[in-house]
Amino acid sequence: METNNMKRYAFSFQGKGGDYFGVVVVNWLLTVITLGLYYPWAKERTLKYLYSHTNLEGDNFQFTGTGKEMFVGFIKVFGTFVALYAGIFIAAKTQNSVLMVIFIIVFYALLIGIIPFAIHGFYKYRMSRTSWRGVRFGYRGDRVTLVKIYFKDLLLSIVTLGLYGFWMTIDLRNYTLSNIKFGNAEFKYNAKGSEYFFLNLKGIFLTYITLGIYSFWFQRDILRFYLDHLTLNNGNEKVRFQSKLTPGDIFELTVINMLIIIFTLGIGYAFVEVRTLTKLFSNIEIVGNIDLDALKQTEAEYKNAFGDEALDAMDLSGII
Amino acid sequence: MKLSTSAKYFDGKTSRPYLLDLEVFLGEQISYYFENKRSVWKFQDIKFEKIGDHLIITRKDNLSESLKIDNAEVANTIYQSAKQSRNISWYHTLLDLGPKFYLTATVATFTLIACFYIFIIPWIGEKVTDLMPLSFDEEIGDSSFQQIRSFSNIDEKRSAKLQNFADHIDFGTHRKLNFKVIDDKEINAFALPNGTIVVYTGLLSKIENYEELAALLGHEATHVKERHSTKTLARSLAGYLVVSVVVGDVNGVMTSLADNANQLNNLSFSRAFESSSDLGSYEILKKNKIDPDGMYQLFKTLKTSHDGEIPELLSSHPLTDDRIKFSKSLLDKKEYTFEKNSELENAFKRLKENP
Repeated sequence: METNNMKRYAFSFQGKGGDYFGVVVVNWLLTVITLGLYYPWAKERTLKYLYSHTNLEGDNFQFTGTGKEMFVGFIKVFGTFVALYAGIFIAAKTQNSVLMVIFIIVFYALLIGIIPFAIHGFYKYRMSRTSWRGVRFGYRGDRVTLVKIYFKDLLLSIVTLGLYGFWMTIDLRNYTLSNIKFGNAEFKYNAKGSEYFFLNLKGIFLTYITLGIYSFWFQRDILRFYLDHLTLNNGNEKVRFQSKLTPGDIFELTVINMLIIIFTLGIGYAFVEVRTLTKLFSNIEIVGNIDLDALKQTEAEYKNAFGDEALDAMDLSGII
Repeated sequence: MKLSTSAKYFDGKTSRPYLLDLEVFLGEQISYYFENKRSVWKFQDIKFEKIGDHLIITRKDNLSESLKIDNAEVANTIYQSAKQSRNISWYHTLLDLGPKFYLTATVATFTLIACFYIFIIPWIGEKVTDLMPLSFDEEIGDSSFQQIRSFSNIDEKRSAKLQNFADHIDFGTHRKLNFKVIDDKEINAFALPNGTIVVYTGLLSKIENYEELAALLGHEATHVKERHSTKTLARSLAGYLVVSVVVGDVNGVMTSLADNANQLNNLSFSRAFESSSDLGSYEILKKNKIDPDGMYQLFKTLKTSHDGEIPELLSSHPLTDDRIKFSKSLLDKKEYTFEKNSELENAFKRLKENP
């Protein structure tokens, strides 16, 4: 499959701690002044900075979403949560224990049930709002299919007391990432749940018996696992991703980041994020034979940010 | 002013970069030829963004069509002209103010957060409490009393005697106060918002005269009168809101810092309430013509019975030494004349009798 005209693509993060600090601080100030209402715009500013300083083959990515779109999403999520809490509150007021139990079950069912819809919405919105050289990314996944995978795996995870959770993570990732498009090129993610399970089993076990020292190797393996199974495909052409980050790199990142956070009481967080992304991205090797000058605009725009905000509200942004 | 420069153009249809020659009329417009067609971008229809040394120019009506200028000097000249002609958003103008402004903004942010804690939250606490009906205090108190009842041993006989003792005191409130004695060695007493005041036998055994007991009950009754529980609840909710809404979106470390500051803040509120209850207790003693020395004695009793260890009663209270000093200062004022109250004295004796 691998032909001889393989090339290595340049990929890096070029943000500067000092500049990003400005973005973060202005966000803080405006968020405090507006009692938190500025939040969606703060998110827009942050994402715009991070995307536009991520560089592929000499050109930057672009986040084209707006605070307004995310504010609408934020209001929808907020409304949903208020309705849920109001239901619980009313049930509690009636002091009818049967009604109360029903409401609590409905509450948690909705909270858990909303997750696959949020994941779907997140990808649709975020990908449509991500572009490079003007060519949009896109998400072509089917909501019903994702919901089915989610509930089937959730059920299996409950039955197996959480063990199947590793397979669930991989099933969701396989489905969502394989439906991401970069113009007319397609991402494919093809990993096995069992491989991920054993990776974690080994990692957690060795981390315990080495009193945490192995965690740097564990993190390296997790990163490798993420990227090893990802490809970008365009007809017969293909691009592969690889993480070259070493346990030493991770150790250095972790320790210095921790020191910065502790000694600046969290104010230096902007510097930590920039350092981390710089290190991480410069250690991602992208090799393949796709002509990145020939990507075509194929993906439509999508403005509904409900999923993006819902994942944020539930602190689940990390699951992507 | 006019200048010419080369630029990369992305047409929004493919990812192919096209090299073009631009004609820029500073502060006004940019024009170029692409596929033999002349295009003009007016400054007011485009967005300028500096990324490192590059300048990215995007059409507002089509974000996927853009021009990129790599020459740092030209990029800067065009950006400055856009700024002068007010075609840069307020946000980027703000960011361009640089490090000094960032530091000012940091200080301003922290000052604002501090103001919230010091001024706004207590104010919200008071206002919210005023809005809450007394039935709220009653409900909260009733449900916590149900819980306390289920895991502690209430001495009904002595409770009745304590109630009898308290009935001889005018607490200056229309709220109904219920006094309970719990059989427990711990040196503790507390008030629930529904007017239930609980004294542990451990503390009761340390109290030697009715003036001390009256001072203790006066203190607890003031908590009920002034609705300290509801105020604490309202304040800590408001504090939590500030932490989660305003600071929560920032990052983990700052959130936990703010969270702890909030806890400390709640503790200092609670010390303020304790001082206020000490004063309230004094007022009640005065109203009933009871010797204010009782309060002084009470604090001394609390101090000596605890060899340095902080008793539960005092954990969120002002330091005992300060309270002793405070009560001594009230004592020294000699504001009123007190008299022996034989009814109270007898009620106290009955309470102290071995059951």
